[in-house]
Formats: sequence, C-alpha cells, structure tokens
Amino acid sequence: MQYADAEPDIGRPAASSLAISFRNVCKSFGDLEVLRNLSFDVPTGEKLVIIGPSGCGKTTLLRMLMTLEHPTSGTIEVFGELLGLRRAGDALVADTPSHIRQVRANVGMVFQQFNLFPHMTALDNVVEAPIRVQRASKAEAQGRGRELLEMVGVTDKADCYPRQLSGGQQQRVAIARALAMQPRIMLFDEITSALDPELVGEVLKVVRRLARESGMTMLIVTHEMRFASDIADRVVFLEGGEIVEDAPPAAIFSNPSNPRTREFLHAVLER
Amino acid sequence: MTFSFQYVLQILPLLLLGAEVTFEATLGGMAFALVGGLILAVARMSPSRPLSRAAVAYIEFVRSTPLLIQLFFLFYVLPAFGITMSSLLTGILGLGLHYSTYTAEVYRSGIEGVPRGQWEAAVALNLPPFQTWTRVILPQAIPPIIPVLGNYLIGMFKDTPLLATITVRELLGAALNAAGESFRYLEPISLVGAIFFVLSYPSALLIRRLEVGLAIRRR
Repeated sequence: MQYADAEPDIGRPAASSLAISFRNVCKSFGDLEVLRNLSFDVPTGEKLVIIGPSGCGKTTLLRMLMTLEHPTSGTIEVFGELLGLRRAGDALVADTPSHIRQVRANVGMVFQQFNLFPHMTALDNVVEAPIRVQRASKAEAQGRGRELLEMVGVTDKADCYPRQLSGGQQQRVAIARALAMQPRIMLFDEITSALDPELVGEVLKVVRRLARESGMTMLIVTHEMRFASDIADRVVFLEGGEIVEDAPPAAIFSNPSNPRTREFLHAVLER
Repeated sequence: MTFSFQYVLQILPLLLLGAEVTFEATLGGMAFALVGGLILAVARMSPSRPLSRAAVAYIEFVRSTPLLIQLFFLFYVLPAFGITMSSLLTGILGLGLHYSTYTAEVYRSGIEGVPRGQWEAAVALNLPPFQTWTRVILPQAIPPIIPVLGNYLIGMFKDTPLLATITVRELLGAALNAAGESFRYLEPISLVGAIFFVLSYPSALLIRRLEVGLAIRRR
C-alpha cells in the first residue's frame, strides 16, 4: 500500500526535521480570544493528539494549519516554510496564492462533517483532486483511488454517492480522499463526533492503522481517549487557548501533572 | 366587428415569421443572461472589494431602470457614439443585460446554498479557485435554481414585444405591421396573445417537470 511517506518529494526544499512550528500564535474572533500566544513544535512523523474542553481552540488550531483561519498574530511554519506569510525585508506580508498552495500541499484534513462532494461518487471524490491539482492521469488516479478505498474498507462502495453511504463509510471515504493527495501532514478534526456510536470503531480502526504504518505527521483532535492514548506519541491538553499540559500519553493519562488536565480527563472518562 | 378566420389565415405566415424572430431574441437573450448572470454573481462574491462593489453597483443600477429605457439607450444613444448594431442584436443585448442582473441574484442564492464545508474541503484538497467553482460549487449550486432561472426565461420571452419599439419585426412588430395595412387590430393582436400563450404555458409545464426530475435525481 502506498502511503504518503515522510520523505521529502524530489524538487521540494529539504525538509526541516520539524513538520510544524507555531510561534507566538494568537487568534481572536472579534473580542473572543481563542488562542493565546501559542508556541509549540511537531517533529516530522509525530502523532500528536490534542485534547481539551470544547471551545479551547483545538479545532481553530487545526483550521489555521489548513489556512481556513489565519492567525491574528504570530507565525506558523510547515516544514520550515512560513504558512500564509512571506518575508519582505524585515516585515511579514501576505503570501502569494501560488506559494500558499505550494506550502498547503503538505497538509491534508479530515473534517468532523466529512464534507464529501455530494454530486460525486466515492471514487470520484477521491480522484478529483489528484486529477485536477496534481494532473494525474485518470487511469492512474483511479487505480490509486481504488487502492485507497480498499485500504479504508469501502471497496464495494466506490460507485456510490455519499448519500448512499453510512456516516462511517462517508468518513472513511473522506480519509481516502485526503490521503490521495499524499500529504505529509494529516489533520483529523473530531472525525468521529458526528457519527453514531456504533460507527466510531470502524473509522478509528482506519486511523490507528494509518498511524501505525505510515510515517505521516498526524495531528488529531479527538474526544476518544482510549484511541488517543493508543496512537499518540504525545498529547497536548489545551484549555482557554493555552497549552496546559504537554506530555507522552502514558504520563498524561495515568498521572496528569496539572489539576485542570486531571479534572478534564476525569469528566471525560467518567462519561 | 366580427372575427375573420380568413384574415387570420392570411396573416398567419407573417406572424409565424415574427414568432421566429421572437424565438431568436429569447434564445439569444437567454444565453446572454445565463452567462452574464453567472459572471456577475461570481464577481459579486469575489474577495476583491472593487470588483464586488462594481458588480453590486451595476446590478442595482440596471434593476432600477426600466428595460424599455435601456433598449432605447442602446438603440438610439449608442449609435451617437459610433456603436451601431442591427435592431435584433440590440434587442438581444438589452434583454441579456437586463435579465443577467436578475439571474445573477438567482445564481447567488444557489451559491449561498452550498454548505461552507464544501468550500473548506476544496481548500483542504488544494483545488484552485477555477476548479473549486466549476467542479465543486456550481454543480451543487445550479440544479436547485434551474426552475427559477426557467421562470425568468419565460418572463424574458414575454418581454420580447418591447423589442417592437426598436423596430425589431418580432411577433408584435409583425402583427402591428399587418394591422397597419388592413386597419384590423382584432385578429393580429388576439393572435399574438394566443401564440404567446401557446408557447409559454407548455414551457412553464416543462419547467415544472424539470423541477420534479431534478428533485428525483437529487434524492
């Protein structure tokens, strides 16, 4: 199975050992401060799980990496390249659309609400971007698309439209669609929150396997704590727009040092 | 005054020629309004402020002035600036410009009906703006508004008699021409009304069927 690998593609600038680097990132929506002066790094290949109460800014953090939101101040680097900004002398100015696209090509995202294209079949959803953006031939893209659909376990649904699929199947197609672009970083934004409970397992299974077998850098926002502790190399607890705790999963789940983390985990696990 | 079927038969060929011109004007105006409206709608929603403001200003201006005045402007004023077109082409242009401001608003409602997540998915897949519009947004925005667009087209069809005022020999123009020779208005004008009815009513039914068909396909 061909996953997007962690090695830099030919022609790209040499990869920094850091996949992601946030520096003093603040984000406000009007008066509402969502992220406060956030600085952290994610080494290439790391599986980072972000947990925290709702409204703590974890989704915003992912959305900024996908350029769906822009920091109010501070900088984000992806493989050593500024995201959305470029240097002009000493100043930072808005980047050109083509360079934003180039940096963004490193990043793929799976959404809470799947966001599949409803007018395309599962396979067409998967091959659309490789054909239109990467200029892959149709045959090549479809071959790879079918492999990816097989990997996420929806081979027999390739020609179905999203509305004919269960939520779990739709989300697995959405994962295949994101993987088809061979991103080096994958963002998972509460990908099981919109699913019926009995469908959560099949989606998590796919992500678990992906985490185990691929060298991709993964940022995962989730409320599934067992899943988090299984796949994470590192867990970040975010509250009030700040990183309250940053530790390996064993430490954070068995013996959180911060009382707020303890409280949160207690509340979630007692559910 | 009695209704003379013999006279009807006599002028029918002439009126059918006029109906053909009406048909051409409608098709031409429709093509113009469908393309122009889409361009206006996309310009209006553009992130570029000047572009979107220009589109809004244009839409508001055209919608706030009568089609008849616009036709007169194109037909009588533009030639003074050295721009001359055949009267039919002027009519098509006038109908197209006028109705494109209405279709633009229809497109806009369709585009706004596409969930935000679709735009975000397009960004996440790094689709360029053109592909985002043509492959993701418009294929979802247009089917639900086809019936509304269709109704505007019927509206445009029923506005074509205005072209008679700028000497286009469409249905009404042809009828007035015949009436001017015989001084009989009953048959020509009645016939014009009847022909309009015979054409628009089935079109309206067709749009209804289209609406149902689309609803089924989307299920």
